[in-house]
Amino acid sequence: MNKMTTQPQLEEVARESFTGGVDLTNLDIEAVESGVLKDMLKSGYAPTEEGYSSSWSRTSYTRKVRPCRLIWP
Amino acid sequence: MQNISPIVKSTNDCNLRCSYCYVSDDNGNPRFFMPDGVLSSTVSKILDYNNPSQPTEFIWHGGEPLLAGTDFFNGALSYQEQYSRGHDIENSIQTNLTILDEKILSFLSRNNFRVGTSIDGLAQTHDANRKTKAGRGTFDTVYTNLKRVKDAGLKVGAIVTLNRQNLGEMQNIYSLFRDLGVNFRINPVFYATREERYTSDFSMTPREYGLAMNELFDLWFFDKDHKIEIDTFVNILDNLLHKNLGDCHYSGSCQSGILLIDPNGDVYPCDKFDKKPEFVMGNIATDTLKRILDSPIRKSLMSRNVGEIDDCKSCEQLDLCNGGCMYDGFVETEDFNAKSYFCEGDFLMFDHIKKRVSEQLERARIKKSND
Repeated sequence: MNKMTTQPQLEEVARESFTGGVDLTNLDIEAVESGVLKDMLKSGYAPTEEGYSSSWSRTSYTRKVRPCRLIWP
Repeated sequence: MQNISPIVKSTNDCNLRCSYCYVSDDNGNPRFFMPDGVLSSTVSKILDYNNPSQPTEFIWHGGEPLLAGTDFFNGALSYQEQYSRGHDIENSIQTNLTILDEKILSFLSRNNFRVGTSIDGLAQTHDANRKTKAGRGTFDTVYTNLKRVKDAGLKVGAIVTLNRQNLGEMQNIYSLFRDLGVNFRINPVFYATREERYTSDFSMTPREYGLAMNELFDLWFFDKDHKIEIDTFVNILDNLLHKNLGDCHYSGSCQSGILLIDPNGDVYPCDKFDKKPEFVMGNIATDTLKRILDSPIRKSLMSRNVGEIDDCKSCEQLDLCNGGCMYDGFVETEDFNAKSYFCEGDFLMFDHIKKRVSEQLERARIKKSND
């Protein structure tokens, strides 16, 4: 994972949400079958005030509630 | 304080007659367009209220908003410039993409509009319900124009209205957008009343909805060379991983940053409440925005407390779901402190997504530990 990865947040959520928790510091990312998740772990999933730095997610949207009646391309 | 992103209806008129549409015309005056004074008030009051250090997004909606013509939108941009106070202003438009001539495309491109449209599946599925007034299907036109918009370099996405007729089409729907390279989201077909929901041929059960979403999630999640985003799932993963309540459905109370402004200036919480007079919060042309935002209706909606909903407070999906769309709960119970009609389907979907992500992380951990 690159330096932008929000590893502590992932770990915290893993502990909270996933049974047993997962140590994200010790993953073989190539073993992940999901293309979405693999990209997420490789490129880093790092939201900023401006949006997201990673390639797998949206790049230019601020973090706020968005209405469902519009697709956010 | 979050900036208000107004959903502004240039008109309720539409050149299509989609089978499941919930938008009604303006009291027998379908050719009514937002008057210039209402447009001016909308732009000036929103920009005056919003924090100029954050972007303001205008979401142009309808009816078919492009029926208002480029003169209307040029007027809107002029008002945005006049009242900007240094705001970074963004414009998005949700259009059926059937009246896209070169003039409109050039306007959208020149002014960097984000474009959202609607496609319900492959041609036969789409054309069954999304028709012109004359009853002709629109798939070929929308598909062609979607590619034109994309080729022009504009950001474009699509909404799929999920209903009983395209419920079994998830593979085709995913392949269609994957081949196009266009992001999309799923919205379950909307009904303004409980009676419509339980009598319509388009209705799905919450369980059917959830299972279809799980099928779609797996198609996307396990696509080794995935090229597109499915907005619905990106928002859920975002919420799961970062507690970022991006999707209004799952935000508990969406009213922190959304308003709907009808062509006559009436302001509603969102377009699900449109044309229900008891939910009019004021009029943008005649009331101050502060008075509108302080209206009893909005305060009532913002006071929704999902932690007090019996069915929700002990639910393991509460953090992700937050009770679901409050309107979808209200239609069932006439109470905003109620869970969404789609509760069972949402539970299935959240549970499925959590399991899939957890399985993958565990697989990666085991592989590493065995090396």
